[in-house]
Order: sequence, then structure tokens, then C-alpha cells
Amino acid sequence: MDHKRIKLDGQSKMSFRKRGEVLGGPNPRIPNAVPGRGGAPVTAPGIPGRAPLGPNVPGRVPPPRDISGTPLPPRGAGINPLKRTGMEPDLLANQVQNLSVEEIVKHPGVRPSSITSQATISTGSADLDKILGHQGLPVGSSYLLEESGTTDFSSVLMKSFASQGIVQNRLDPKNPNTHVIVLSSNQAWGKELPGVYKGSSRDIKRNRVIQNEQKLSVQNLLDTGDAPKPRASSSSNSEKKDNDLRIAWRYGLNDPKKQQATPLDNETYKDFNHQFDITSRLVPSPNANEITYIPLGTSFKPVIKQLETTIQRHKTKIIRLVIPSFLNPSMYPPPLATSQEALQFVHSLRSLTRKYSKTLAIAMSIPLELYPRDSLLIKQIESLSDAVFNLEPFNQEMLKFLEKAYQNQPTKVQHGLVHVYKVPHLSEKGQMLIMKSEFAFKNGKKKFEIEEWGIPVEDEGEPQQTTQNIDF
Amino acid sequence: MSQQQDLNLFVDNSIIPQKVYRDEPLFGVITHTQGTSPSWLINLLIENALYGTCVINHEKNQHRQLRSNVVVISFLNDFDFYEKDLKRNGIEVNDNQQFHFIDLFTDLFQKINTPESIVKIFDQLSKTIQNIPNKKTILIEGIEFLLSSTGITSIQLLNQINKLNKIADALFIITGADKELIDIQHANPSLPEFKTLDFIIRLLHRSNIVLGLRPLETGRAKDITGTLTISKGTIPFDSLVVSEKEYLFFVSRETTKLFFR
Repeated sequence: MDHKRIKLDGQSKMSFRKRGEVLGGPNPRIPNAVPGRGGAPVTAPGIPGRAPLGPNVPGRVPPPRDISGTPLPPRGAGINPLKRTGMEPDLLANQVQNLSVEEIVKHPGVRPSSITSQATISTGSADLDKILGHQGLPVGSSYLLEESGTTDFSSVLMKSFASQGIVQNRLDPKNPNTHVIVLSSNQAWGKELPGVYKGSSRDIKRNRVIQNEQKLSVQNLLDTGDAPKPRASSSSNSEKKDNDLRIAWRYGLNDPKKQQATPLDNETYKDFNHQFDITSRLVPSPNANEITYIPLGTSFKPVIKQLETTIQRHKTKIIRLVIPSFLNPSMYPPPLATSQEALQFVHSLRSLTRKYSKTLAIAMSIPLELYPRDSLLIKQIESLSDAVFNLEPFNQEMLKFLEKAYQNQPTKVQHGLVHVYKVPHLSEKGQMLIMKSEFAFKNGKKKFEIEEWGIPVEDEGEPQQTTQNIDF
Repeated sequence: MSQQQDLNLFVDNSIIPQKVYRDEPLFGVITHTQGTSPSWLINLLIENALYGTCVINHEKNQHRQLRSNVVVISFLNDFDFYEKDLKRNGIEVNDNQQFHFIDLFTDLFQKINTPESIVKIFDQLSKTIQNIPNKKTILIEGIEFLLSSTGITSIQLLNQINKLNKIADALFIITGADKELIDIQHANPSLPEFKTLDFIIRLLHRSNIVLGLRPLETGRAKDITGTLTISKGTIPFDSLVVSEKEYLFFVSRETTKLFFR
């Protein structure tokens, strides 16, 4: 895929660009990031304006939106879903039908597809969004994630998909915009959702320092008002540190911007996607207003009914339906795994995505170890899904080889291949988009990365210094 | 790259010959596999059945004249799926009295479940279609899906198709034929693979023209989507002659192009 390639090129040139920025251009982020800065310009005058934000994490404050002109009041009454269900369903449906189009345009997690301009949402992994072609998953479609072997990488993506919805739902507490439905009897599934990545541990410390400085405390006031001496010394300290760091800056090593490499490409859709940290948890864990569990019985019929009523109940919201480990025998009783039951169900899901094409998006994972890809069942499920990806983890030898090849850059070791079999919309319109072994994935603390795959060259004589992060 | 070619299926350079609507009914089978979705070809067939024209051919601007009713029956897609693309090909299906779409996709399994209910649906269908006056072209998409998702047998399903064949001047069955769907390890007639294989073989033996869409064997290419193979079916026409050949085709968002191989 072309844009992918361009991005990679860009990265390889990045160190040059960064050098120019640090030396010449006023980059607002970099001076901020130096913890010992202590210089007057930011701290003292900054307090009054920022103080009200108080305990909030700065980056996550929702943009103030003027909603006075829009027909919000009737919906304001309906925030409580309990109240909603009490209303006359038809009447409610009419009311929300009119709202829904506008509502979705306003949704912070929705952007138009770069190909078809359909509304799309993020899967929770920026790289997966990219290989979907539309910059996301078009609403009204489904994606199937197959996983070979006995690993469970797919659950990372399934959980990010759900987390992304919950995070967007919480952007504006008065205005819930997303609902997550999980097809699982395990009510604790939502408690394990990953939280938003807050930067490396160093960044977190920095942010804490900055926050403390911004807080209106006696200590801070003393610092800014009556104690010029320590400040002067700290500022000179920081200058010295800057100088010491200059060499590291030059190689872009300590550049926080590069480390983050945030995929948020522009400000217009800044809440479109987030980065998730699989070692953290989404706090507080999602409540019943945010997530609905649909338990599995011995037939899919009631499941479809429940799904539809839940979708109708949340008609003004984007619905993210997550189906983790579809047909996994530990969750699905044997009668559900017959080709008739399973295919009827997947067909009904497809029918739902078309029926609620403005609100519903589905993510489904399936273990291929139990249901091989060369069986009719999987082929038919694939033909009913809009996007199909396959994760094929590397075997031990390959991992060993990669570890050896990337001896000095352990973070570069990929964990497996990603095969693309179907891309929403385009595949169904007749384009041939089967891409086998063109991408590789690696699962890391801060994100699930998918990049172009190439076998690394073993280079024994490589000098050791360049890649390690040197602390001064 | 060689020169762009016109789509034609018969030696008289037609796609659906006029004779089909007079006295030589057509039974066509279109098979496809993953990666070569047939929707572009279906759209071209719809256009040709309605007007006798084809947007990707050179004489596309020739005068359009309605010649046949078109009934599209889909088990895999809803009306919206076709509407936009047909519009781009210059067919306003909403205003067109001769175009009929039968949606057997939306909430299909709330309507049917058992083989008996499928039979009932097809009885109703053939009655409705019979009431449409004049010539009729029927295209059925995704019917093979019923074999693996319900208890219907391949013979029962073929009998349903027969009902429609009797009332149609031209009938196209569009079916997936991925090797996974027809690859049987055990000769067990209740296996969906067995049923699908049986169904497709029997279908081919009833057809008089077969179109196959396949990706290139060498994998994905930037300028070629796959191959379109046109061959005679098992049952010959009286006088029409199928132009057997293989095209390379390329589908992109804007255009569809055909080349000789």
C-alpha cells in the first residue's frame, strides 16, 4: 500500500528533520518537556488560565463545543437509558431518526473515509486503520480477525476496539456517543480493557512535574514570587543540561515527539483514535450504560433479537459490537458451532450491519487452530465479512532469527505476519486486494503495530552505539 | 499492455443476444472466488439485459432501448449495494419500471429456516416474477449459501432454480466456487462441502454458457485484477455460438477494463 510506504520513508528521514527543528525552529513542545526548566515565561503567567482545569489530564479535555443551536434538549432527557426504554419505542425512533445523521457527523470518533467518504471509526489500532484503506472501519461494516496458532494476539485488537469506543463515549460526559456490545457470557471482559497510553514512564514523570507546577499551591507561589535565587540556578542548570543533551538531540534520541510518533494526523479528527497501553486498565471500568454483554445460550436466535433491541435502544450512538473468539468451544456450546447455526448467525450479523448502516460496526475474531482456513465454514464467514485479516505468529526459529538480526534493536522484532484477504467496500466491488505476507505485526506495551514486512539483513559488524538510549 | 477490449460473450459480438429473448433461452453460470467479486460483471449484465448496451464497450453511446425486464435476487447484498454502481453506469433503477430487486438478504433467516420454507419462498417468487409482463432476465446471487446454512439438499435447491428457469428468458446463477467450498475430504452427502460441489457440478451440466472470474495465479498485480474465462456450457444452444476466450480484467474505483490474454 502506497501511503504506508511513504510513511516509512518519512521515518527514515526523520532524524534529519528533527535536527533542523531543534536548532532553528521554535518548537513549543521541546522546551516544555525539559523538566528542570523553571524559567519564568511559562509557569507564573500560565497559572490563572490553566488552573481551572485542575485534576484533568491536559490532553484529554474535550474541546468546548457550542451545542446551543442544535436540537440537543430532547436528547438531554434521554441520557438515562432506563428512562428511554420507558418511552414509546416508535415515537422515540422517529425522534432519534431525525437526529442521527447530524449526530454522527458531530461524533468525535467519526471521520469520512478517504476512499468512499463513508463515515468510519477507528479500530483502536492506528496501523490497522491504515491497512483497512479507509483510515478506519466504515460504519455499517464488519471486520474479521483470524488468528493461526495458539497465541491470543487478536484479543489485544478486540479489546482496543472496545476501549476506543468507551474512551470516545467519555469525552463529553453529558453526551454519550458510543455503546459497546460484547457477545460473551464473561461479564468481566470489560474490566480488562486497556487504558489510554500516557507516554513513556519518563513522559509521565514529566507531565506530573508540569502538573504540579501548574497547581496553585503555596510552594509554587513562593517559588515564583519570593525565591528568585533557586529559580535562577535551576534555569542555568537546565541550560547546562540542554547543552549536555545537544548531542543526543542531534540524533533525535531524546526527542519525545519521535518516541511517541503519534498517529493523530491532524487536529480536525484529534479524538478519532487513541493509543492504548496494554499494561494499563481503563479506569473506571465500563459500566452498564457503556457496555452491554449478550450471553450465549444454545441457540443464536435470541442473541440476534437481543442485539437488535440493544442497537435500537442506542440509536443515536455508534455501536461497536465485539465478538471475541467466535466459536471458541470454551465459550460456545457445541450446537452453536455447526455450520448451519454459525452461518445463519453471521449472515444475520451482516444483515444487521446493512440495516443499521449508520451506527453499527462489528469486530470479530476467530481462532483458526480450531476452524482451519481451508474449510467451508471459514470461507463462508469470510465471504460474509467486509474485511478479513489473518494474524500468523512466527514460529520459534523465526523469532530467534529476528532476535539475532535485530540484536541491537529488540523493539524491532516483529511477532508475526498479517495477511489481508478483504478490505471493506473495495473487495466487494471487485478489486483484488489479497495481500499475503505483505505486512508484519508486533505487539508492544504502547501499541499494536503493523508495518510492511521485509526479512531483515543479518549484519554482524554493526557498531553498537547508535540505537541505545544513553542517559546522562 | 495490450489494447482495451470490448466485452462480448457470443461470436456475433453481443453480450446477451437478441435471439435469447425470441426463442433461445439462456442459462448462464458465473463462478467467482475470493478476490474477484463479480459485482461489476453483474452490473454490466443488468445493463445489457435492460438496454442491450454496455458502458465499458466502445459503442456505449448507442441508443438505449428497453428490451427486457431484469429481476435481481440476492442472498448476500441489499438494494443499496447495487443502486449506486448502476447509477454510475447510467441506470436510474428507482425510476426504472423494468428493474426489480428481490431482497432475500435482509433478515433472511427470520423468514426461512427449513427446506420447506425455502420451497415456499421460491413458489411465491416464481409467481411474482411470472406476473411481470414481457421478457425477463433473472440474476441470482449467492444462492449456494443456502446449502451450507440450511438443511436443503443440492437437488432440492436445483429444483427451485428450475422453477425460475421455466419463466425466464435468460437466467444467470452467480455462485462462489472457492476451492474450500468444494473440496471434499469425505464423501458424506450431508457435508456442506459435498452439497456445494454437487450443486455446482449439476449447475454446470445444465448451463449453456459459463463465465469464470479468478485472480491471477501469480498473486496480486497492480494493473490486473484477474481473468474472465468464457466457455460453453454442457448444453449447446440451437444456433447461438459462444465466443470462448479468456480476458484479463482490471477493476478500479473509476473504471473496468478488459484485455485479451
